[in-house]
Formats: sequence, C-alpha cells, structure tokens
Amino acid sequence: MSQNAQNLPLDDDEHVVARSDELTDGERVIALLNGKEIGVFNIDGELYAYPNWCAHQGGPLCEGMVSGTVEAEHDRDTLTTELEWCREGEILSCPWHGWEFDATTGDCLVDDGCKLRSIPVRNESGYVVVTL
Amino acid sequence: MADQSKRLAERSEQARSNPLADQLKEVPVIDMDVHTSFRNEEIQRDLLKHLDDPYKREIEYYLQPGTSSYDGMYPTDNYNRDLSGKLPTELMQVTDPKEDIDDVLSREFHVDYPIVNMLPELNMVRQTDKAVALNEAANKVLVERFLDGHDNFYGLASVVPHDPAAAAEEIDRFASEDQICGVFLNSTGTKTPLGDEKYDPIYRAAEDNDLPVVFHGAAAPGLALDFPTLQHELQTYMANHALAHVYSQFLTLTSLFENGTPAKFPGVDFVFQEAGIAWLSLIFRLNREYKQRRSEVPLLEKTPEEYVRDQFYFATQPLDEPNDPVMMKQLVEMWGGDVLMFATDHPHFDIDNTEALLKYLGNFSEEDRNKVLYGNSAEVFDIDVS
Repeated sequence: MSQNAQNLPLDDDEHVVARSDELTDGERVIALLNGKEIGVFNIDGELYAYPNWCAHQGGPLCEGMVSGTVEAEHDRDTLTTELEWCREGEILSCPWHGWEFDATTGDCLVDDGCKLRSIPVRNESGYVVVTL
Repeated sequence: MADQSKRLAERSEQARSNPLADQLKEVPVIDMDVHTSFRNEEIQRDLLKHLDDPYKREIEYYLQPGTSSYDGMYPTDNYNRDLSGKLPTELMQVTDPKEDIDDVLSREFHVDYPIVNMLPELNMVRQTDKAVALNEAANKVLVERFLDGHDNFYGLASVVPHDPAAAAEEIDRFASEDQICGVFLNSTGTKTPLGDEKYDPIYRAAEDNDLPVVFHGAAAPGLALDFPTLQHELQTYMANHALAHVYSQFLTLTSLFENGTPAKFPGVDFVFQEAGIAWLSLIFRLNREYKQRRSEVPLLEKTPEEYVRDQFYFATQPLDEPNDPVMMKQLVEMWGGDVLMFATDHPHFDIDNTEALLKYLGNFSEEDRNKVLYGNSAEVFDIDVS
C-alpha cells in the first residue's frame, strides 16, 4: 500500500493525479509520477492516460491541442469532394509536428506503427487514479 | 538546326559487342519513352490530313519553302539547346517506325517493345480550340504512322490541359485503339498544377478506360509560366535542364497528393518520365508533410510513399550520376522492382542505354531486374511479352 494524502487504499504503483471533480469533461491534467510525465484526459466522461512523450520524436504530446479533424468523401459521379469536421474533442495533436492521435484509443492517424501506450486510469472514491 | 540526315543514335559494331549486351539478348525489354520528331516535315504533312482550317492553313504556310520556323505555330523557349552543334537535341529524325525506331532500338538498346509518344508539346498553345485540334491530329498520326502494322509497338495518346472535358473525350476515343496503352501529359506549362480537381475528368476517363496516366517532364515551353525565375534568371541551359524536369514533376506529384487524386481514382497508375530517380527522395519529404498536416489532405488514407509503391511508376531515364557508382546502386535499390521502368528517351540527347542501367542492377534478384526492364511496364501498360 502506498502513502497518499487522500488515505485511499492504493498499491505502490497506483497514484492519485487529481480530484475527479477537477478533471471534468474536456479537461486534462499532466502529472509527474515517479519522474514520468503522464497526461490524463477526460473525454466525454471517460478517462484516458498516456505518457507525455510523443512516439515520433519525443515531443510533449499531451500538452498539444485536443480538437477534431477533417474527413473527406469524394463523389466520383459529380467529381466533388465534401469535407467534414468530425470527432471534436477526441483528436490530440502533438505540438512539435502536428501528428494526430485518437485520444480515445491511442491510435496514430498518420502512422500505424506509432500507437500510444495506454496507461490504466480510473475514478475511485472521488479521485483520479493512475496505475503506472 | 542540326544535320537532320545523321543517325547518331547508332553506334559502332565494337561498342555493340560487350558482356552487358550479351546478358540482355534473352530478356524482353520495354522502352516506355520513345519520341517522334514531331516538327519534322513528314509528320507535319500527316497532320494536315486530320485538320481543318484555319489550323490546316497555318501548318501549310509554315511548310512552304523559305518559311523555315514553326515558332509562330508552336511555342518555343529559345535556348541554345544544341550547344551550337556539340550536343544535338535530336540524335536523328524519327519519322519511320521501322527504320528510326524498331531497327535502332532493337540493335542498340535491346528494345523489343517501344512505347511511342508524339511529344507534341502543345500546353502553351494559346487558343484552346487549336491546341485540342492539333493534339487530336497528333494522336491520329501516332496510330496511323507508328502503330498500325507494327504489332510490337504501343503508343501513348496525348491530351492537353486546356479543356479537361475535351481531354476526357479524347481518352474515350483513343482507348478503343488496341495499341494505345496510356494517356500522355506534359507536366510543364499546364497553368494549374495537374492534381487540381479541374483535371479530375481526365483521371476518371483514364480509370474508366483502364489506362495509366503518364507525365512527361521536359524543359519545354511553359516552364516560363510554371517557374519564371528558372526560365528567365538562370543563365544557362545547364541550369534550366537540371531543374526543369525535377521541378515540374515534383510539382505534379505534390499536386496529386494535395488533391488526393490517387485516393479518388485508385484504379489509375501514375507514371513519371524523364526526371531520373534521385529526386524520388523528395517523396520522403511528402511523407513528413502528410504526417504533419494530414487534416489538410483528408482524402489520403496512407502515406505518399505507400501510394507511390502501390500506384506510381518512374522511368529510370536519365540515369543520375553519383561519382561513386555504388551510390547509384543504392538509389535503384531503394525503389527497385516496385516502381522503376526502363526508358531510353530516343532520339534525344538525354538518351539512356539499357546496358548502362543494367550495370546498377547487379544486386537485384532476376525477378526484380526483369520488373525494371519490362515487367512493370508490361503490367501497367498491359503488354504481353510472352
């Protein structure tokens, strides 16, 4: 069991990073845990955590913009292309090079080999708890 | 004007007998970039049969004795291309399919299947109607003079960018010719880059007719429009020619990715001629830009390099010349059997000998070597070499 200010019964590898009511929908927190920066996101009520370390070149990924992205459909008969802004609030972009990641899965939109490592995170007794 | 009676594409008997030549004796070779001498009088006279006035009258005027220059008819770029005779633009006049193409290419370069384009270079013709009419006449001459009766010959039907709907009709018209195996576009002087959606009718017609689209790089009239500083401020043809093909081809390639053209038309193969292969490293730069700015090009579903290896092909000609030949081997090995196609560029001063390419394919498997010499072209242009 680890010592923690909240007196939660946690294992040594479990860490409180925020109060649940501080990390509301659309918010994020970046915590320093055992010397590692971990970004924790609340997206539509679900929690997601990833290392703050872009798998591309090591940039501070979790400090990047969370927004949406553009998808397109081409109609071969009319030869027109329709653009759609979609997935608002789900796409995390690394500030160094703009690589887009699906913050709900860790998938990289531009490089299949660059999936983010998901870190277990949960709400427990009013706190957000990350397991390293 | 160079001496048009010479046949400088031919070499000596001693040069013809060499170990590399021996290796090529049993291999079918497809040459996917063979030109005609479009402005030669014989070909211009052929055009007359397929033109109406006023364009017929215009060519007739230029064909009169004493009216030696076609400059009013066909835009030119006014460089000393020939170095006052040291380096003739055309090593010989190509007007006869047997004597000027088949005999020369089979004897000197081991070519069994030439893919001929007329190279009319009409992108800078001002009037749309005139450009379309001359282009259609050129395609008719290609079929009648160079393909009919020559079963091992194939041809690329050219289109001009002026009127994409008319170009699509031209593709539909010529696709029914058995030996027409692709669509040909000059990538200089197109005004709007060739990936722009206004050209989509051309790509859709190519896909409907199961034809690849071939982009020919050239230091051609039109470069002044695309790259005015290159054309007007660089002082030599050395500099112009070094950059022209690579600039125009990379502009075309980038434009295709910017507009998602290969994703819109997954059945189209895109083929690039006459810019060599060293510039293909720029595809890695496109990868990077795509990854940084994917949301600007949302039709793309994978990296440019992945599209290139699936759907794009590049002529090896003109072979780049690293000082260390090992580096040239590394360049061909980077792209290898996936995308490379042999071409001579006969009869121009950029000409490549098959034997010169073969020197760099030493580390290739026989299968990959054969893809470069004929396999990729056979597949893309649907040529049966058996």
